[in-house]
Amino acid sequence: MGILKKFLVAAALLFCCRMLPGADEPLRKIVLLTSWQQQAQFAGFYMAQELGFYRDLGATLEIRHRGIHDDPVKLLESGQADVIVASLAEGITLHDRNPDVINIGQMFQQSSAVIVTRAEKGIRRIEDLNGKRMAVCPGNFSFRAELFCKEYGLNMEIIHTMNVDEVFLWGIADAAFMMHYHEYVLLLMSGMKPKDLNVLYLKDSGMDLPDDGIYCLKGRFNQSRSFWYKFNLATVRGWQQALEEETRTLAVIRNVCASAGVPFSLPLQRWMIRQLNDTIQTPQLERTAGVLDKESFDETAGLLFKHGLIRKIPEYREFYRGPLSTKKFRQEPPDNE
Amino acid sequence: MNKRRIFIFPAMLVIGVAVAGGAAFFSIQASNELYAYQDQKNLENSVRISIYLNQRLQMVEDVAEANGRALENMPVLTREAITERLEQSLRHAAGRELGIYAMAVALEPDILPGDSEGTMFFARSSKRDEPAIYKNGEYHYFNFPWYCVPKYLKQTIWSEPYFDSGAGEMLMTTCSMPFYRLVDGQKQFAGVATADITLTQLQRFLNTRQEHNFKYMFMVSKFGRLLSSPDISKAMTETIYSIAYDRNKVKMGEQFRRDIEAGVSGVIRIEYPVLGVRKGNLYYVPLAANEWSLVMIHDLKTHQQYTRNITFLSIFVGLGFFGVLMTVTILVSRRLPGKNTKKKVRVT
Repeated sequence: MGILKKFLVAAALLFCCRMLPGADEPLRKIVLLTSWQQQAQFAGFYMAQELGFYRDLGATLEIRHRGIHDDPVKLLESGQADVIVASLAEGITLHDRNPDVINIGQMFQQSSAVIVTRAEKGIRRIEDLNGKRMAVCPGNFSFRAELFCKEYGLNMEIIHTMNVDEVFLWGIADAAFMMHYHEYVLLLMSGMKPKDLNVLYLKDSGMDLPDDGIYCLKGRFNQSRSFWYKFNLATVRGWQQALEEETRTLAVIRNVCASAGVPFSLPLQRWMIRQLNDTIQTPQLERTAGVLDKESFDETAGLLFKHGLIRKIPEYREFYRGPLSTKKFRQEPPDNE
Repeated sequence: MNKRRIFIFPAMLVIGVAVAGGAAFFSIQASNELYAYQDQKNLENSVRISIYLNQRLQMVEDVAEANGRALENMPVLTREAITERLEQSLRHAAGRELGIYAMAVALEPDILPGDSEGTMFFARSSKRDEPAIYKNGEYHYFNFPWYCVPKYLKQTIWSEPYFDSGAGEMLMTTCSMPFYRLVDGQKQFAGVATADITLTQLQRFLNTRQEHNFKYMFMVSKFGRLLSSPDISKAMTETIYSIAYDRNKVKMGEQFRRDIEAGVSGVIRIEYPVLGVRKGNLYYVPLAANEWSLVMIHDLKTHQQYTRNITFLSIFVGLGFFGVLMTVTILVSRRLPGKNTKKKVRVT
């Protein structure tokens, strides 16, 4: 009798499990296009995928990177991507082109962009850059460099190159516009010493335009608001894990790189993870990963409008559909509309 | 015991210690001399190998420069003339077995009539068909260092190694020569002529020159990147400086950079596990042709084994000699007339 009872209980449990929503449903495939090739800059997504945070939502994430010359709006409109990663400045310009492009979560709260010069060149202030030659990566970086030059009234000769660090090392550019968590460490890895370099942080120069956020089309977002809210939250949790478990994260990134055929550099990726800690957590700024700070938005949109890079400043809530405040975030998600 | 017998034992002890000490001293000296000789020999070998490599690289560079000069001197630059030049040059290079993977001519806008975008002609040695033609809008070659660095530097360069995902799907380096044309009587930058060589080709060439006393032999690029490595995960992803930094041996990296920039060869003593050896010597020689360097690692494991054997042998011989000496001493001392013997003589 005892065995029969246990069997019946087990059968009942199994039946209940199968009756649960999503138990047998295929996972919903989400295509995310990152702005650069596989690296620690996207560790939050990799970790959330690895730890099954997206699976818990009934989704699986396919992470690819978009080409530097690809048009993100076209990729979203054509359905080649469900979500893309873009900097806030780029996101606002995309929204200006197509108001259906919206931000559903802001991961990076600060700008990691820096302008690096050789100490021996004596370029210490922004004004010293006037008339100089600067190496800039095409696409999104080029756009931000252009904004920087306009803001400070600099007349600079720009060299567009895919390998900013290499061009800088060859000595043909006086300055290089790069990310502190990426190309800067490549310079150090190439034998440059920090004392040989002057680093001008854009966030300290009145141009703190936050980097990576998540963007999708309004129509897709409206189909399932609750899902995208949870998606944002899952990514934030992925980032938390990535920053807490460095060794495991590096192992995950190594696997991601290996399956994509991208070379994995341990010192570079380790540096990147450590540097991104401040960019995402920002304890000194009281901002939260996943939430777009209104002040940052106003500053970025205002700057873009001032220099004619957008036609009008969008409404904050028209552009941003993620959680409004840290307190509300992580509580119950809003109902589907 | 009489006075003579008492004196003989300490004397023998002193001689024994002197013999053992002498054996140890000479074995250490022999080991050091052997080490210095090996060191010198290794450095000479590494310089010799670098000369071969330099010659090979120089030959590839000559091909790119010959193309550049030919394009400079052509009375009229046309698509057909460029295509023909590339094909002819590839055929010639294939005959000389230079290991050139591909050649290209990339032009500035408006160098060809009606070409406002810029065009690149690319010919691969493995394909016999006509060179492929790419517009800058398709390939964006203006953004690559192999194009923009010689343009601004106004001299022939060897690019840092890169993964060519567009054409060959392999690691390669490009030798690019900027060339100029007269436009309205003014000398104007017209484009670059290039010759590509794959890293596999270079490493293969290097392997044919492999010396048995070097455990590993590989190249390091101008900016320190390891082009191959005993630990394959470090190839192309780490630099000699990042490894030095990782091991808290920043000075090692500094010495390397200083010497390579000064164009001198040198040696770094490795006394910690790195690049596949626990203890060894890392010899480096600058390559004048492309400002890279050739690195060779000599594992000291074999050398240490050899010197250890010499030391053991010397000590064994020394101890043997000492043993023989002691035996002789004992035998001699027994034959000497003792104190008791004298007394007995007096009693009788």
